[in-house]
Amino acid sequence: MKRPFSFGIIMITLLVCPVFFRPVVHAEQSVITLNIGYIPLVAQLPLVVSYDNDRLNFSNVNLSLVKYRSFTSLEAALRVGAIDIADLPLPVAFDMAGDGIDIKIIGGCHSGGSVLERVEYSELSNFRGKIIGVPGLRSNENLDLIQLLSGEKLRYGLDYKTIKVPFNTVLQNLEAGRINAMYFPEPYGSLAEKNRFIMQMEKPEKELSGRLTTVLVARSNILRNNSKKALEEWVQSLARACVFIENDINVLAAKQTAILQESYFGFEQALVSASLVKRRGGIHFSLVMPEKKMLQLHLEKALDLKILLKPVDIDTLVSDYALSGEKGEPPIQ
Amino acid sequence: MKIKPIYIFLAGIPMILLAVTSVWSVETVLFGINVPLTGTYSRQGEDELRAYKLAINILNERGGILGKKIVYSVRDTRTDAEIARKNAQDLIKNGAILITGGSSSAEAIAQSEECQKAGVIFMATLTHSNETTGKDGHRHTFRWYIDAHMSAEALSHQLISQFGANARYVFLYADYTWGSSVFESMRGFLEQAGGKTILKIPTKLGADSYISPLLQAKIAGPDVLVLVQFGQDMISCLQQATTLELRKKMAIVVPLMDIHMAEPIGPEVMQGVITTMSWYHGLAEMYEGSKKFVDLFEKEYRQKPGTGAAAAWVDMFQYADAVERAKSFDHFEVIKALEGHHFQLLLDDEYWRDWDHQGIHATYVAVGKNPAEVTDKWDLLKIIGVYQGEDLAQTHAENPVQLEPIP
Repeated sequence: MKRPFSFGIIMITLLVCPVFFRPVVHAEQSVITLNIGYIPLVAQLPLVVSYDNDRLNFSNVNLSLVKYRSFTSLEAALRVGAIDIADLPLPVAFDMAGDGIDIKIIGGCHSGGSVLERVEYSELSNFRGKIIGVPGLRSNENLDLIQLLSGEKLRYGLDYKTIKVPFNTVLQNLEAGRINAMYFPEPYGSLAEKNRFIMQMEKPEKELSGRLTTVLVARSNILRNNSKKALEEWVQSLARACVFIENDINVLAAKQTAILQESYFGFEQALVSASLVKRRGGIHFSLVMPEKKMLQLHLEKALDLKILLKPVDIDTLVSDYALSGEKGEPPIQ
Repeated sequence: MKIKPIYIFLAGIPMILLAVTSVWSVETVLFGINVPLTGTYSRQGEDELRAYKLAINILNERGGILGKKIVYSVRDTRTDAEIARKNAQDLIKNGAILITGGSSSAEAIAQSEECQKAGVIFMATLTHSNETTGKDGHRHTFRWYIDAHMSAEALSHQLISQFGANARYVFLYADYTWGSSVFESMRGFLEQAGGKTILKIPTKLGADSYISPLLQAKIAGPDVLVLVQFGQDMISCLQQATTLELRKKMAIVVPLMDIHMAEPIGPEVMQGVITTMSWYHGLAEMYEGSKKFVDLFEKEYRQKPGTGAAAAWVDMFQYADAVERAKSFDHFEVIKALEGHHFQLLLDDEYWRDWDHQGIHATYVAVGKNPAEVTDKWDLLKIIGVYQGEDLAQTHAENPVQLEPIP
């Protein structure tokens, strides 16, 4: 008679104990985790500034920041859903959409920030026979450079070559003479100049300054209703981060931003602050939604150059979700 | 006549250089903020960080300190004294002229040692151990937060009047400088009055389970169970004590409380818990300085500040004020400006004692409100006793610290 009774007591204890000793964490259903991927680049500063400044104060979003070393790994992570949002080159976004990945372009948080540099100072026409390093063949840097050099009657692939160079080997490639020039996002140009491998081109700076290089790409599922509040909160934080960086450049010579990036990017403070203060590559931070017309032009250019093979519908790719700035301000068009 | 583009370019160079140099010539000073953002005391570290940032923004909007804008570098101590020490060394190497932080006394003491060696001011923020301004005190360290002795004396008055002079106590205390400091201070006062310590159990910092020591406490059957835990440890311990129904048989005292420990627990568990605090957001109703701080903090972060944030706020503004009065960032001049200085920032009369650098101001004894009395999630505590700093603080005879001389 005793055994069933003891067994019952044990069973009840086992069932009830987890209820009593559960952790004191209150499950908040409305809090959505957003996984944001980033690469250590000056242009991606708003992502880490937003995280650093606001992660403790979000009500609807639990922000997770994941570091990647290349656009290829960032793209792969977004493709498989390891991250929800990434700041990617526009042609990569087109390519992913062409492959049927359910993504949307939700805007951009900077313009400019990439600099054309070469080993010897010379005119653009001297690029004939040269090899130029770019962050990827499917990058805006590559597209813009090809367009610029076509004005000098230089034919892509025949008169010069562009090759994809990983961020972590670009300096070695320059030093070894494997590339004669680079058109790269900052701070790689600054790093190359600091090491005296290279010097900044003067003339192309104007044409290539302030160009659209990357866009914020999100997996479509986070734009659905249950995540909208979280996304809205993060976007507002991103807008504040852009304002923070701009103010810091203007008031504190970007010193605060340079200190802050160190734990995420690991670049020398003086290098980053100098790059920002000089606005290398015409960099400017603000939340923008690129015009569809401009996106269409980029798409056509990439298709013409056979960098992309499949067309995509821009109207479908661009999110209806309008990026808005600080609370109360109208959405940025 | 056509001007060659090269001349236009050359003419523009001085203007570009002027613009760049004017931005680059901005003079800044670096503050090192060294707080736990992970680990047992991370909530308190986050609370401090919010207040630091808010205060720095305000100071910069006012033009900085002596015309120099403040930039800051934040380090995570991970609630680990050795990491805190290493962070402090790095910050000093990077040129920090002030280091501030610490959500455990062990962290604060480690940073204090490094700052003393380097001649850098350390504004200790959340540190309650007697040792911080006692045997481990240094000339370069200032602590506004109350110490264990103050809490113990204030609590002993309350406990003796509520449970009688001969009450029996069980202590569960965090096994490091702070826990021992609070335990020894409380035991001293209570036993002197006739109370009896029937059991004392040291517990590991960052422990997940307190079931075993709590069951031992239950068997011992004291009148009062004193939980000398802080941060997430206190949350876990109090929750488990409630689950084990200890509170039906004994009163529970948590010698040091913070709103960011009370809020996650909620009023059902917090009710009746007796504690002390160096400050409480409810003081905004009594003091203009506290009101201003709470309003600004709430506007920025949509939550109430805790005691760590209050200490961080005082540290920032007091340091800035001292530099302004000293008209110099020189550490010895700043120390001289702080020593013995009276001010009204959050309360009515606060000052830095010159011989141990302890902040002297009131200590508050509070009790967890009954859930029926609670008006919102931050309204969890009721102040039941106010003890003046001068009455509670250790005398020089009790704390025979000798700070390093100023040359």
